[in-house]
Amino acid sequence: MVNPTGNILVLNDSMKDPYSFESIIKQQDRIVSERIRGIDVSRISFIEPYSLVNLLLLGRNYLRQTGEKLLMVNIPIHIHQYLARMDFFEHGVFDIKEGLDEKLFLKRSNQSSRLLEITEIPGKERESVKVIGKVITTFRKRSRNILKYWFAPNIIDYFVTVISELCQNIFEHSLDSGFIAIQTYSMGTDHTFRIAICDSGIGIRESFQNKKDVSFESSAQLIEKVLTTPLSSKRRFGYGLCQVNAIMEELRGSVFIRSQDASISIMHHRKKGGSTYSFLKNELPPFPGTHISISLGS
Amino acid sequence: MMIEIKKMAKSVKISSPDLITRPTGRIFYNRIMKKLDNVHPDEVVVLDFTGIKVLDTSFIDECIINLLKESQREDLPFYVRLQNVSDSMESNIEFVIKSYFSMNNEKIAIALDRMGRSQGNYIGALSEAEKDIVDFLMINKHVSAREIASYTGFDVENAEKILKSLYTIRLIRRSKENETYYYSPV
Repeated sequence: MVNPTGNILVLNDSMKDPYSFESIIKQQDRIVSERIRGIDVSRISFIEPYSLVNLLLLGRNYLRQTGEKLLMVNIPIHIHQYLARMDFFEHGVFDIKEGLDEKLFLKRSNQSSRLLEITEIPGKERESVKVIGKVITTFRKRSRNILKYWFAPNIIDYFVTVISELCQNIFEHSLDSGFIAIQTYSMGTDHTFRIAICDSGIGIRESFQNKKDVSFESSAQLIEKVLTTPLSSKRRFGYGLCQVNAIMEELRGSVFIRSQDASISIMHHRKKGGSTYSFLKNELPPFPGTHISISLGS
Repeated sequence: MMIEIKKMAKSVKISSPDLITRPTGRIFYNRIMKKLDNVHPDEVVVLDFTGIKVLDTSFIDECIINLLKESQREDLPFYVRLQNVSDSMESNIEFVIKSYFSMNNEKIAIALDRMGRSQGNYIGALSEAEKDIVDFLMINKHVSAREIASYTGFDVENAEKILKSLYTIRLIRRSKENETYYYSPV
């Protein structure tokens, strides 16, 4: 059901990278408190996977808090095609006034599959293990297309590890379900491979609440710590995030993690002579859960 | 004893070349331990990974690390050697073993059937002296602490200490002949 009386909020063209998506996160409180009826996406020219998955989470948070679906209006055709291709509407979070003409649906074939559609990672172990297995099988099948611009040895196996480790964190630590989406996209001669894995759970800081032996000065510093030290909120050690960071360092990619009100961005491809090229931010607008973007550029 | 991991994967209906997640690691650990019901003291257990491409750190922690700890039991010591390990598997195993050592200050290592990234036939964080001794054993196969001492320049007591610690983590084998311990590679 959609709230029939609320206003429509026009979104800016802020879905080109995780940093620009912050301006949409800033508006999420308003969306709920003013009971916005829907979002107008006519200004959106491009959506990358991190923004895509987080837009879905934003809609899901709204649905959970209000019991109503957000309406999405004035969708440019190419954006509508992309959303449909990524199975965005399959998750029953948004309402749209008009569906896409069947003739306009983007074709699905092995050749055009430089992506993994948005897939829900359940919050429970047994179901989650099955879904992660399927995600990795699909990724392996499409990996030659997805990673066709990158030639590092064992790169497919490395990303199997990355996907597995990050998806497991959802059912292990977040206490909620989450989503994964993958895509390689090109702008001119530049190619970007991006994995987005996001949940709307308790976030990293809260998951470490009972670990009194882990000290930190800020939420962002804690995120940095779990990326560089094998810490776990559940066991004595946890290797996942740390190994993901090590793999991305080897592949000279980048890691962006936003959890609740803090974020860290590590740009291994920009590292030179001792500088870490990591940027910590605190006191961001709170956004429930942990949101990860793993990228490789060419 | 040789354990073919791909066959074990098929028996639990995993057709993927990737062994991932903690629950899967626990299943494999339990299956391997069941096979080890019949293991002889000092037997080498070879885990053959032909057909497997990735082990993630969760699987490694639940299966391989727990197996290594089990091998260190005093009452039934056995040795583990990994065979046909892919580069990414080696990278993940190395990461877990090194992290375990840095967090726990407890050394662990595992034998490999080939030369690994560490330039030795093992995965683990060894000191230079330990590396020298493992390399020496790979070439000379069956030696006493005294022979090691004369090669490395350590005194016998020090050589014995290093050998004992490598034996404790089951990276080298030990046998007793005429009141003298002899050491050999796994």
